[in-house]
Amino acid sequence: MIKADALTKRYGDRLAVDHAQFTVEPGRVTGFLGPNGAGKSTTMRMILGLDRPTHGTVTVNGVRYDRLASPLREVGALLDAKAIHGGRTAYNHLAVLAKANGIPSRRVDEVIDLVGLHDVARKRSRGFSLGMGQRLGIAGALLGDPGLLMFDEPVNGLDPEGIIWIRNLMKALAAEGRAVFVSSHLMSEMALTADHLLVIGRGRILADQPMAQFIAQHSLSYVRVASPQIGELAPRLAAKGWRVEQRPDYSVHVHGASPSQIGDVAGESGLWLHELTLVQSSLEEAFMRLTADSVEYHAGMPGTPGSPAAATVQAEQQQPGQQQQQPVPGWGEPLSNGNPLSNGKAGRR
Amino acid sequence: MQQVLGDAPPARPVYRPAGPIERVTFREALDSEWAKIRTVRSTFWTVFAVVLVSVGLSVALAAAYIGSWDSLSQQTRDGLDISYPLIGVNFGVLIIGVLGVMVISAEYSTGMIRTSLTALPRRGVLLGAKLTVLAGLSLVIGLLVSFVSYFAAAPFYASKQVHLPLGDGANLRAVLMAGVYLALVALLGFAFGSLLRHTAGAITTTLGVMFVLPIITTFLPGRWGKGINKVMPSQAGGAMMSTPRSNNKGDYLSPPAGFLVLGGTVAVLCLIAFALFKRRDA
Repeated sequence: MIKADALTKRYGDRLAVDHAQFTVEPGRVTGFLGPNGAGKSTTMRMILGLDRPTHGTVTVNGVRYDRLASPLREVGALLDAKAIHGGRTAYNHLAVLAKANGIPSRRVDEVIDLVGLHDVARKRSRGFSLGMGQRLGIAGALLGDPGLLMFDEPVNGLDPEGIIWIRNLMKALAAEGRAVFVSSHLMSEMALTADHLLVIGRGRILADQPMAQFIAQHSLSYVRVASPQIGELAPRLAAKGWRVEQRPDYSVHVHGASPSQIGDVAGESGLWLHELTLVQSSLEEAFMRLTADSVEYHAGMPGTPGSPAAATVQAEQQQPGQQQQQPVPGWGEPLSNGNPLSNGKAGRR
Repeated sequence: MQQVLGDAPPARPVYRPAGPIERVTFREALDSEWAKIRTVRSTFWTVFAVVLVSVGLSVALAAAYIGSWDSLSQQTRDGLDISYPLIGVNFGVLIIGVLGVMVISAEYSTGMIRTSLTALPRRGVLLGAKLTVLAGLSLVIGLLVSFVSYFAAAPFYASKQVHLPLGDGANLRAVLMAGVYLALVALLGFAFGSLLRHTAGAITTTLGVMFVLPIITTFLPGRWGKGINKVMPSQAGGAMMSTPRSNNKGDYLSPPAGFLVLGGTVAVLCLIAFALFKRRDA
C-alpha cells in the first residue's frame, strides 16, 4: 500500500503537489482523477522515487521506494508507454528489467503472452503503436507479480478492446488482493473501474472517498419545466412533494420527479407546457465542478446561489453523509465550449 | 446441522507474493546493464567503428610512411616509435567516447531512465553498474584495438628495419596503455553524458574537450601554458602511449603521470556525475 503524508512538490514558484495526504489500500482499485497538469504524474513519480518531494514523505509498503528490497517484486508501474528504449525488442526490454530484480526469464514469456504481444515480442519497440507500447509497459508492471500496481493514464492510445481488457485486468488484480492505483483525467473511465476515488486539482487532494459515495453526492438530475402558467403549475408540483426550484424565466427545475409524472400533473390541471426536459448532470461535470477554480467560476456565473467550490466539497467530505450537496441551478447545462478535459496528455519531458 | 451464515462480509483475498523477496544484488544490476548494452544496435556499430577507424588509420599511416620511405629525413625515421602503429587509437577514442555518452544519454532521450530507476531505484547501484559494464567492455575493446593495431601496423615498419618489439617493456606498456586510454575516454564520455543528459550536447562536449581544447591550449604562452597543455585529456592520453624515445621534446608528461592525470580527470568528473545523479529528479 501507498501512504503519502503532506507530500509536496514545488517546481520553481509552482506548487505541483500541495500537501497531499492519502493512502492507497490493497484489494481495491483507487482512481486518481484530475485534469491534466493537476499533479497526478508528479505524485506518481514521487511515489517511485523519480522525483524528490520538496516536503513530506511517501512510502510504499512502509518504506521509501528506494529502500524496497526488490522493487519490481513489490510495485509494478506503468508511467508512460514511451519510457522504453525503442531500439530494444519487447522481449529484450522485459528481460533487462527481469534481470535487474532477479526475476526468472520464463516470467518474461508469461507476461508477453498475458498482454498479447507474443507476435511482436522479437520486434524492436520503436515501431510499436501507442497501444502496443502501453501493453509492453503493462507487461513490465506485471513482471514481478507485485502486490501494488500503478498505472498512469493506462487507457491512452488503447483501442476499445484494449480499454475493456485493461479495465478487467485492473479489477481482477484488485480482486486478488492487490492495491491498484490508476490515474485518469476522465471521470467516465474512473466510474467504470475505480472502487475508491482520489480527486486532485492544482496539486491538492479535493476528494478522497468511495466511488459509490462520490456518485451519490455528485450526480444530479432534474426536469426543466417551462410554462406560460408556471405560477399555477409550480405549487401543484411542489404539492406532490417534489422539490421545485424557481428560475428567473418562466421555468422551474423539478427534482425527484420524472418528466411523465410532471406532464401528468400539468395535463390533469389543464395547464400549457412549453418545455419538459430531463437534464442529467454527468459525473464528468461533477468532477469539473470539483476541480474548477472557484473564483473564476463565480465570476462567470452571476447570481448563482450556493457554492460548488472545492472548499465546500472538502467540508462535505469531512462529514460524509451528513450533508447533501445543494443542487445549484445552471450546473446541469451542457457546456458550450467543449470539454476542456478531453484533450490528450502531452509528455512533460 | 444448520450452517450458520455470519454477517461478516465475504473475506477479501489477501495478496501474497509468489516467493520470498530477496534484496536486489549488485550482480543482478550488472547482469541487467550488460543485457542493456548488448541488446541495442548502436553498441555494435560504435564498437565496429572504433575497431575500423583505429586499426584502419594505424595501418594506413604505416603504409603511407613505408610508401614514401625514401623521401623521409633521417630525423623522421629515427623518431618512429611505438606510437606510430598505435596512431589510429587517437581517433578511435572519439568514437568510443560516443559509446560512453550513449550508454547513459540514450536512457534520457528514450525515457528508459524512468523505467530503469523503477527497477533499480538505488541510484548509486544503477549508475555504478552501468559504469562498471562500460568500463569492462571498453577496456576489452580498447586492448583488442591496440593489440590488433600494433600487430597489423608494426610489420610495415619492421620491413624498413624499424623494430618495435613488445619484448621491450616500454613498448608493451604503450600498447597496454593505448587500450586503457580508449577505456578512460569512454568513461569521460559517460561522465559528460550523465552530467548533461543530452546526447548531442554530451558528444559535442566530449569532442570539444578531446580535440578543440588542446588546440587552444597549444597557443598558451610560457611555461604555465605548456603545463596546462600537458594535462589536457588528449595530451595526457598521448603521454600514456609514449616511450622514452618519443618523450624527449618535453611536450608530454611521463606515461605514468599521463595515466594519473587522465584517470584523475575522469574520476573527478564521474564523482560529480554520481553526486548529481543521486540528487536530481529523473
